[in-house]
Amino acid sequence: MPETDTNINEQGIPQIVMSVSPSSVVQAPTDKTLSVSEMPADAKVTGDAIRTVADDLSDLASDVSGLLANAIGTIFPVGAIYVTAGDDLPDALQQLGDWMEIAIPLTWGDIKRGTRSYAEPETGYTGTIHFWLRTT
Amino acid sequence: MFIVDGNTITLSRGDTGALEISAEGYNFGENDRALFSVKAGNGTLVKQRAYQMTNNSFTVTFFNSDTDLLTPGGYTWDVRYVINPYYDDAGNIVDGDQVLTPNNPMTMNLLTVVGDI
Repeated sequence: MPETDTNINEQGIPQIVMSVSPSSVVQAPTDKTLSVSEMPADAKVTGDAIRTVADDLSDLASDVSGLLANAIGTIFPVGAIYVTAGDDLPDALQQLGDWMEIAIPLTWGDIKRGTRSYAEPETGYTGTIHFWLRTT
Repeated sequence: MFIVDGNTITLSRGDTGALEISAEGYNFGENDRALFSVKAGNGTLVKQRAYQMTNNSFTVTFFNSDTDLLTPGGYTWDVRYVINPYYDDAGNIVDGDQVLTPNNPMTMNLLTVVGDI
């Protein structure tokens, strides 16, 4: 970078001489409204708009998550029973409150004692049915 | 119309133009800034921006939106050079190792126009 001669007075203060001249460098104007076609969008306005959309999406995700939790809570109030063949209670249900697990082993003979008759599977059946009772 | 005559800027309201401002007497570094400001006659700040300098020079550009809504008339402008500026949390220059104002406030004439853009 070319350097100019410095001019610093006895107090250590630079003595600056300023000059002004017209410049042919005219940057393209930008559209701050983000609504004018064929004009470059203003960077700051664009960035602010993107950040606003991101914040809105984050709020929306939080709202949806809250609505979903409320809906699940309505479907499974205290005293409700959730039945599953596996031994895991879904996280969404665990977050509602406390659950008491009642695991009941079953064989094909247990099933046959029902009021309807079914064809016995060739391999037989054994398994455990899990009842989850929401207590709080 | 955008005319630079000496240190006097004359432009039509809303016009686009640019001026190059150079300094001699000190070699500014990359951290130093030139603060270009325009004020209305009542003291209201209407344009202010800090520029980094290249070879002790910087270019100020006026866009349509800079003056389109201003009242035609007399304004003042100046440049204050800030060596090693200090910033507030919002990024505004609030002080510096040295602040140097080489000129008294200078004149900017904003001319009226007939057609609105």
